[in-house]
Amino acid sequence: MTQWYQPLKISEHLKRIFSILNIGFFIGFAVLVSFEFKFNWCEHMIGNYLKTLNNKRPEIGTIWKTGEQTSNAYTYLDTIVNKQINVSLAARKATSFTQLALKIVQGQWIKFDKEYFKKLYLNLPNSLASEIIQPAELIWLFLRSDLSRIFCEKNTKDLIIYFIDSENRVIKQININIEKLKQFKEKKIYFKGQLKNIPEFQGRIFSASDFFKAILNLPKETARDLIPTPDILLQEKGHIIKAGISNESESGYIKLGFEFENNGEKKVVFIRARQWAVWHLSMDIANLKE
Amino acid sequence: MNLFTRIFNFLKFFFYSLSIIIACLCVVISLMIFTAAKNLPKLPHPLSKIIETPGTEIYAATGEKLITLGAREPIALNKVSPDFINAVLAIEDHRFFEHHGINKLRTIKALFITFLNPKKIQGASTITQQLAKNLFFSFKPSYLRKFKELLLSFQIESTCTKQEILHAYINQIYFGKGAQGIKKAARVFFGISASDLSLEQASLLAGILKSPTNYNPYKYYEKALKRREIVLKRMAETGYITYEEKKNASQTFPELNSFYKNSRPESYFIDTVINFLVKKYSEDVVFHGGIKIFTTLDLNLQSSAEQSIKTGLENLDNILGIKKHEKILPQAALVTLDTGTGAVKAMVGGRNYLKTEFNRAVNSFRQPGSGFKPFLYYAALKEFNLTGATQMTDKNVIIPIKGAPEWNPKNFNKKNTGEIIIKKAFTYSVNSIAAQLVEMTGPELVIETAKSCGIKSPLNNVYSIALGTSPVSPLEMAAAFSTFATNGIRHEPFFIWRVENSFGRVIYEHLVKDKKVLNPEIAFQILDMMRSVVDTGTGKIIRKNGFINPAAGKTGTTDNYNDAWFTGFTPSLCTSVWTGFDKKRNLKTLNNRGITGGRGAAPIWADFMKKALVNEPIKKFIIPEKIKFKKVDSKTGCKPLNKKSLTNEKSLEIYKIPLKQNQLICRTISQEQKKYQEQEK
Repeated sequence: MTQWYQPLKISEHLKRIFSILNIGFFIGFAVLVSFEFKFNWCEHMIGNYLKTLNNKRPEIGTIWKTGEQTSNAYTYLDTIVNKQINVSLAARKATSFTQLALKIVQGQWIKFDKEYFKKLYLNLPNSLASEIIQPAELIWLFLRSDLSRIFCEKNTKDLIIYFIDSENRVIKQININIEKLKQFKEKKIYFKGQLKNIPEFQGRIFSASDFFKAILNLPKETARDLIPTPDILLQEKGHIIKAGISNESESGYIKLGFEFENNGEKKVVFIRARQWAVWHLSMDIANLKE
Repeated sequence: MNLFTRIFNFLKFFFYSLSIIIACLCVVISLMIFTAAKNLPKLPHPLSKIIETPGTEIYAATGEKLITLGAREPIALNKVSPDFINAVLAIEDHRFFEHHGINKLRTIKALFITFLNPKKIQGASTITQQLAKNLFFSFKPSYLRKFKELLLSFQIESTCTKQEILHAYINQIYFGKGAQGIKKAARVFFGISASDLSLEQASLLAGILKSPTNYNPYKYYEKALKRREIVLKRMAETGYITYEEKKNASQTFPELNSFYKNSRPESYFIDTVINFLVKKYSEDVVFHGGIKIFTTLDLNLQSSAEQSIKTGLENLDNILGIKKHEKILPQAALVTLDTGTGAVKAMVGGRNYLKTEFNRAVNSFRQPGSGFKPFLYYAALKEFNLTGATQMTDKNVIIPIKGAPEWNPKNFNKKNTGEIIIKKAFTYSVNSIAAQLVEMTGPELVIETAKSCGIKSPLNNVYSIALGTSPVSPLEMAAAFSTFATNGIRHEPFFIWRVENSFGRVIYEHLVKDKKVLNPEIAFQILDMMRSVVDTGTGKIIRKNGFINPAAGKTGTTDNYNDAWFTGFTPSLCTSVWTGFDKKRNLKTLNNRGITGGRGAAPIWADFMKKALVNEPIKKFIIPEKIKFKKVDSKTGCKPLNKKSLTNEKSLEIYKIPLKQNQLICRTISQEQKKYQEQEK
């Protein structure tokens, strides 16, 4: 069914098709399309719009990731280096191996110079110092022309000092037991109680007078090596009632124990004596055994 | 209603529908742009800045730079050959200077072809689009990625000049062979700077861009030339060159840089170094941190190792009757260490790195066969105070095993020779003696010795451990044998001396630590037996092949000839060589004759060591102070009865035995066992 508004003639159709509105609309559309092909206005418009948002957009994508990786790498490397610097600076302030042990974290290492090592070494109690490294060996080590650097590292138990030559070979390694250092610092060279309660002294306990008589009968140089750290004993309050010889030797030393009595309290103070001197002493007092 | 009215109505309907569709499309696209815009990656400015990546440099111990990883320094456009820029523009985007990020006609054409035949997807990316893709997106194709890529290319065009875009493009495109950017590509493929590229070379490189793998000129030279022809044709059509120039260029065949032609000999070593550092730090640090790595590699030794493996494998191919085009080929691995430090000085992980990157020197764990006997003999000598002169009996041995069939190891030649001293049994790798020794010591002691020498692979607690049935790597074998070379001092094998950050500050350093793990006298007694293997025993081919330096070692061949080993050392170098197939195939000749360690691996070892030590002064093994030598008869272990033979150094029946203090000759194994039992009591 033909609607009332539909044209009935071709001329009417054409009039409607080529109306001013239609022609205007068509021209407008054609201009837009041809301008797009000629001047890329659409791309310019989108490009400029995106440009305005650029700073708010995320730094994602392959190239940003590469940049981020570089930045991560530098941060990580800086952390390693800064840690090393901080540890080295902190370590320089340490005046003893005990302090040093507190300043190095497990797995970290620092470099020493000879003077600094000497300083720390000389601050050690004599007996511990010679246990760590014999003074003569240290002198020989320091005089060696191939000693290039000294490294210090910490593991769970020890401070490890490496003496290294120019080819990175460890020519001497010293392990300093951190617990032992602490004991020395806290003066835990004592045992609260009596000598007879310490198994390693069993069967080798003597009265103080017999023990010292035997020492005084020995040549002077032997006696000196029996009590190389008299200060430890002299600083103690009370008087010595018993002395004992340990049945274990370590690095050329044997532990001696002196039982002190002070106001009814008993404690044992240990010192380390030269093994050869202890042998001399043992022979002399074999008959004095309790 | 007449016909005309109907047509008019239809056209009107069509027009309005189309208008509505176009309007809707415009709205949808606008919405998509607004939505996508927020999540588009941020565009850096200038583009070239983020292309710069500091390079990680790896150096040999001998000072040469081995490789630079990840370094990218942009090269200025005016320092690149105009021929290359023209070639790229002609083949990739000849309307680059006219469009604004998209070539609309080409895109419409591509869409049309893709629409007609979805299997034949047409690419129409402009250089700007390619740049957007390479800088920000993965290579996984998707319509969304394409859309985002398009939007970003519009922004790139609005933000940067055409020169900046082209500059960024040529500096980040990938040419294969690890070459990113034209600067590196010119260096890798032709060994010249980018400014010196000729038309023939430039067009070849521009052709590679379509597919760096398929047009890799080192692998597919003809294919790359065909692609170059297309590039040259496009250049002529677009007016960058004349047809005469095209013709001349087509007739010239550029010579490729031979340095990169073959796989680089040190590739396996570099891989190991990189893997170690990636584990220690991270990939970011290794590939983007700009660190400097000073390795232990000796380039001269490395080159010798590569040559020896090549020659050795060629010989092996001939012996095995391998044909030219056979795909499954025997492989080999070699690793050599400095005995004094543990520094790995050369390493070859296989026949050809380009074909297989699997490093058999480090990551391949194979049964060492008799190569494991030194650990057994050490354990036995130590536990029972035996010597090389101790007399045993080579007989058929049956060892009962609880809950399993009894173990009945056979000698290689299936014969038993009766009385024999330990040194001779070791020299000729007599299995029945090894079986008797492991029965005495138990497998635990053998495992303990091997572990203390540096074997880290899990070892099975079974008697057959004595005959090397637990798999180990050549690197482990070299490190463990090196402990005997130093009379019991073990050094951890290592690849890196030092790592520095980009400012030269040391962040990692290897300290050489001597660890005494073996008794020096007993270690020397084993070393002495290993010397005998090289001089007169299963490894005597080494002397036949002209290697005259003091050397010690042990051959190893597994059941059914799956593996052939030789691990040996001089006082300064310890080298382990393995040969075999990756998959289960035997090393057997066409006549069904098996290849032993002495035949397959020892010649490679000898060839390498000859080259490695050619200019070195001859060093002797250090004999521990308390060692004394005595000559004994190889059957009795006593002083030889025939006085003439005492003066005859070459007599095969007389053996010179190193003895520790208080050790005696002329002792049988049962006497030693009895003494041991008494002491135990």
